Amino acid sequence: MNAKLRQLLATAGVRDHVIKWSDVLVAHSLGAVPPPTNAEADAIRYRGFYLVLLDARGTPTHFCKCRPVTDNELAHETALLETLCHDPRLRTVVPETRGVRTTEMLMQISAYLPGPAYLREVGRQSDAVWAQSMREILTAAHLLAECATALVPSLAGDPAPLNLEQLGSGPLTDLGTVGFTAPRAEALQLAMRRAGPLGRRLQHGDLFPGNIIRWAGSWWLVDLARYGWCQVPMFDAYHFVRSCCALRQDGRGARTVEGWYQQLTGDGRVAATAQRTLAWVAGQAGLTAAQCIGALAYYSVDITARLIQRRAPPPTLAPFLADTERLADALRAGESVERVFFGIR
Amino acid sequence: MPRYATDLLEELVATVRRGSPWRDALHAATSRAGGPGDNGTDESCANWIWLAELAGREMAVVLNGGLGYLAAGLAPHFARVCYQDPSDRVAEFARLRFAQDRLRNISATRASVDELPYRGTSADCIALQEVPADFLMTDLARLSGHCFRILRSRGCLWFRWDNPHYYRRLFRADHRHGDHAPAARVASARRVTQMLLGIGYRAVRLYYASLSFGGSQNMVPAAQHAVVAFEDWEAMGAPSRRLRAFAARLGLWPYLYNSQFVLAYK
Repeated sequence: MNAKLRQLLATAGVRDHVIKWSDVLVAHSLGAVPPPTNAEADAIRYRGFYLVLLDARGTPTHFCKCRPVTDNELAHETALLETLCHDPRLRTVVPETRGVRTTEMLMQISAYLPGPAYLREVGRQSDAVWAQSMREILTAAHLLAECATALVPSLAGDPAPLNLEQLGSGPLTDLGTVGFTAPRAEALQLAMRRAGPLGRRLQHGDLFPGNIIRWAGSWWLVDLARYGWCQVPMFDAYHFVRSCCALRQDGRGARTVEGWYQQLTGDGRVAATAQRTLAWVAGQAGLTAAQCIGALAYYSVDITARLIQRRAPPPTLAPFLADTERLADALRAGESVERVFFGIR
Repeated sequence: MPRYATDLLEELVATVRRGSPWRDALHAATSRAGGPGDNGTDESCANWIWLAELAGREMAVVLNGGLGYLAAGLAPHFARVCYQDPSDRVAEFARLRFAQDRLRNISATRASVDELPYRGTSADCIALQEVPADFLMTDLARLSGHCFRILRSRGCLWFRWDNPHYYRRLFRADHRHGDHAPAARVASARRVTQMLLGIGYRAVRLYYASLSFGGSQNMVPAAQHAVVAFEDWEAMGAPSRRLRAFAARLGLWPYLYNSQFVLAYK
């Protein structure tokens, strides 16, 4: 390991002994640090690499994200985690973290979480365990939001209620660039308008099973790079439940391949569990049906627009776009979207 | 890095010379050629520099520099980077891209890998981006000897070579990447290490790089505890987990990865 890296780790107080060359792994190296030009810094979203530090026996001890100093998302996440990880209520939700920087590199150093990602478990769980684990994870996300609101007031920012229609207009424009029709856009816009003013709630922003780790009997939430930037209630719940559904198997043991909407219109156990979970979250948040559907319209539009902005390849974008179109068509046709997503009859 | 057809390079150089952004022009040219066609798709191929324990940072030399990714990636780490490539056109393209990116600390010249126009003990780091396809162990030994002369005390030589694709196929670890067989003739890591130590390099650090089916560049020290830790971290599962575990026990780790590289310290 070179002297600069050694110095960074020493500054962070990671080790008090010399780290051997064979105790450092570099993983997912996706861009040079520092980038040779500013243009390069903009060209690749996830520029940088991870370091995994090992102890003398080969057990990983620290996980480090190494990025250019211009990486605002990492700076945001590091500052947030440095505050949150000291709260006793979050000792088993977010890893102990600290950050260091030089003129060349921003480094976030976290305690290594050895447990498996939920991504690897969710497809194999029984229905009951799956339902229980989703509630536990969403409860952990709720606790994180409460603590973050209290400890980092600047995150919540403007206390005024959200206007979903206004918030969704930009993402809807993005959808228009890939052929999303005006009547469909109007249907989603109407759903967002009907939600009315909505109270803010900090969201993880990318709560999917890959960002959840099971370790020491707790669910740990990682990758808070965009934490709090979205404050639309239910956003995390929709994204999380949808991602889980995509990883579940149907009754015949085959991976479910249809769109989310289609999956939920079925009478399978996956649909029932997803509906009960979403209804439970909505009930906890005290939202009306119109607010839930407005938030769903916003989620669907925003998550699709993010992929468009990132120039995601067609196979990645297509299912999200199709689900958004399906939702819009259902709203236009006056179908009971509440029944599909929350099992309300 | 595969060599490009001459006509494609001519066109690429002409396009960039006319003022087109080099990355767009390169993308268009490689698409016409039928694929990305480049090992280092960006400057991340230079991130091994964070692992190198260098005494100085005045000058780095990049041999067989190709399209210039490695030289560009090393540029922020050194006061001066000397790039060279045996192809006129490739070197010209690199010169144009460095100029377009205003990487003023890189000088680009056309020179074969055997020509090392540098005085003794002048470089802190020498990187051989691509071991030539026709290189045998004796050629590599001769080049490493030349580099030893040029390196400063505590400077380092870096080079990587690809593992034969049939090993990766044997272990079902070759799902995504194309085959990069040329450098396989360099032989085993053990022989490479012995050769470098025989020349006088005081320490040779071997790494396995770029997991065959991971899609991302990973650099894993060639030490048992590090490899096991990496594989656990990646949770490399089905379908060949057992087969890979068995291969690991037999000491066949290198063949699970695309390539290996060494950092040899003077």
